[in-house]
Amino acid sequence: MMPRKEFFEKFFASWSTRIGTVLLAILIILSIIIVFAYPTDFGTRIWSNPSYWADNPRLAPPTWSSLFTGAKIPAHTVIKLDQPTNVLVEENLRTIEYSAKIDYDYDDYPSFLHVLIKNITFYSAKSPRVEIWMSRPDNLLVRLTSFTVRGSSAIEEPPYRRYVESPYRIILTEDSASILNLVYSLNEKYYSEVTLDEVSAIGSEKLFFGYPSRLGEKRFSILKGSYTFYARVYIYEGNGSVGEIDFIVGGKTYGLLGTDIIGRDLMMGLLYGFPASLMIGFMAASLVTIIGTILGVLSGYLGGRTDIVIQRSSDIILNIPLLPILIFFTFIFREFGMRFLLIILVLTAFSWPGLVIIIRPMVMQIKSSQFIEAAISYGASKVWIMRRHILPNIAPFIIAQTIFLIPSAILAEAALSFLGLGDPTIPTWGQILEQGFRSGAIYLGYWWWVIPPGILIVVTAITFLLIAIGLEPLLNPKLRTVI
Amino acid sequence: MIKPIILRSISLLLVAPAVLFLMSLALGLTGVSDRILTSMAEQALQDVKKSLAAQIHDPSALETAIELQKQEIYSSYGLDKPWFYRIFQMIIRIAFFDLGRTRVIKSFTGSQEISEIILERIPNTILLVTVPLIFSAIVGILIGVRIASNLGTFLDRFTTYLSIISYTLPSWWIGIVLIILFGFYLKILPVSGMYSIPPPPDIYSRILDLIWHSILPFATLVIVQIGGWIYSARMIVFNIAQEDYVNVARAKGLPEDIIRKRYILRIAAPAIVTNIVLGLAGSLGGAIITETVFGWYGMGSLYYQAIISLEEGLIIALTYIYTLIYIFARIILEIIYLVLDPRVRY
Repeated sequence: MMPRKEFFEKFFASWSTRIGTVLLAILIILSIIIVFAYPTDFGTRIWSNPSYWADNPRLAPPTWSSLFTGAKIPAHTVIKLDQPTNVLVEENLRTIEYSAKIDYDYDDYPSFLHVLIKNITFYSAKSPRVEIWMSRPDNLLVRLTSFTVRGSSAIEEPPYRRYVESPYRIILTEDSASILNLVYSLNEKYYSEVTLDEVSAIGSEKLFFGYPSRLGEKRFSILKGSYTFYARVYIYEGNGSVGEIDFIVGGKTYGLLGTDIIGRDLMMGLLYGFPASLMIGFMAASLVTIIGTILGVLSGYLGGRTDIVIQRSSDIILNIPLLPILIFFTFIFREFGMRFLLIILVLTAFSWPGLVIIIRPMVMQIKSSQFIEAAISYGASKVWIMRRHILPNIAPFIIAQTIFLIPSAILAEAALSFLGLGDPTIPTWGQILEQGFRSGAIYLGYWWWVIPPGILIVVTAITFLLIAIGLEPLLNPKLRTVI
Repeated sequence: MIKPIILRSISLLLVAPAVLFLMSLALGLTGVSDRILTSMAEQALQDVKKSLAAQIHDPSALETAIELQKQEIYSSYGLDKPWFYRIFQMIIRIAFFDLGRTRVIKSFTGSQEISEIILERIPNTILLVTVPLIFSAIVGILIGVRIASNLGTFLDRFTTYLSIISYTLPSWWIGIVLIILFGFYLKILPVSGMYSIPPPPDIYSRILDLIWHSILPFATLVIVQIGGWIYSARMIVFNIAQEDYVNVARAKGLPEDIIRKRYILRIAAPAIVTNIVLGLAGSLGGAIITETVFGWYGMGSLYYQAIISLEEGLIIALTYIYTLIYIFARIILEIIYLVLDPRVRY
């Protein structure tokens, strides 16, 4: 064994280990941050919950992708208003007004328009009313829609609270009153003859952010300029309040990595994949190492019947193709839950023999050396010899093997997830890829859904391989001169 | 020569019953074997019911007759006893693909027999596994041997890093990237399937059509496999090239060509064959997913369909047949290994 200082000097002398170590540090730091930043039930409560993503555009490419097309593609805009812009108190009526100004100079229409109303409190028997208005750059002021908040029931005591758990959502681009009012106002101003039946063919978002190109025509052009949206809440008889009003202009692009078919922010899922895949890799690799080392040392040192049993069983397991048997066991045991753990266990159960066949000859070689004979002669027990003399000698090789095992575990989990056998409560890169593939992303060109998860899998696997390959010449004296 | 081959084959063939036992154990423990047998028994009972209803017209007599038949059928399937009494029976069933019929998935001819569905797909899978494996093995070894004699040069490092990347690339992802690039954006290669729809009428244009469709899946598998070949050939050859007898040969002034062929490659051959053996398992696994991505009508895409439509019988049968194919390929390779390395005697 070489001294520790020399070891590290040689280890960091090669570029592959330097790059590998830096990447590994990044992976680990990111994973720790994400474990603390994300809720523990991220998979079930947020990721697999479509209502959480209802206000995101679907299948939107990343925002930076519009750099390549040249046109200004609308970005996703969320305007959260927790303070009213205007409060008017009259006798018996309190009007709370929220307004959001949007400068729209994009070359495309947005994908939708949502208004969220959160947390309305009132005391009166008469229910509050909400009105949504918009003013456009062409000086049209349109009263889009209105609704009445659900009133008090007999068993309820004031104050009455509404939309606390989940907000009230108006999808303006699908709201029939808004569409009707807009069609009426546009026809009046531009002398056009758009009928309600034609709206779905035209696209309702064009009514909001466009105008009929020429007088009397039905073709729409984008109207750039300054838009203002108003939400007026009328609360009767005294006090009452509104928690928050949000206006959401759905973009045609979203965030750094875009969204998938139900509007999930892919970046959130991909970030979560870091701790998930590191956990798979580390857990499976350490389990395999523990089992493989124990059995390998026993097999090599004890010999006899123990050796035969371990050799025969590892011979059989080594000759079973891994992926089919992984598919079988994960599929058959899938109903028992905790599939994440199941994948790790099955992976371990069929991977340990690989380590045994490497360790056994090494142990046999050490066993025949003189210091073991000496240890036996002064009465050392078998367990003592295996623990104090054999293990330390093979430890470096075992560590190198463990590092080799990590990427194969990560790749195996990704493969299983890609075949639809992943753990639905823990989103991983393989699962995101699979959902993209199953939704036909590759035939429809949704590259942002399937390319990034693959890159992350590859980078993570390469990180460990670079380190393992850098370790090889240190452990194998013949190789020391190269690399 | 024959004896070690037979011994080795027997020990490899023992893997099949071991896998069958493991599978039956898992099926019994999870109650899946009960489910499969019950559905088979119910199917048999349906047939009996029809013939009984044609013979017996008294409703209550019919009821008791059916009940009697039901008990008989259930006990003939062993359903009256706990699962571990039937484990041997289950092993035989899997071995002969007697796992009932599929629910949704059909063979190309419309049959729902599991063995028929699988049998017609085996050739497609073997085509997809072997051609890229052989191609990348030959090219990879040639490159690996070349760069082993120029270790430490820029070319060597560059190829080594490329092969590391190639080794970690998951085949399904490369497939996806190639499909998006060549299928979606460039539109020069087909994105899915083995033949055009409708397939061309005559046999020659059919073969051309197949080749055209197999460019992307073959390229995918070669890309993911070739790196491992280059790297391992380089390491093996390099290790042998440092042996003393090679240095002696060099000192004697033998031409580099002869040293490479007779002193290095001949010795490296068995180790390289071992690598083919180890690589085979990987390429079988890789082909499962590559088939899925490219809609190749092989057993791998059948796996994916079976998982999605929860066809238990089909998954069991596929796992078993993959094991068999693997064992068979191993035996062939063991024979080659024995021929190459006269020192090996088990």
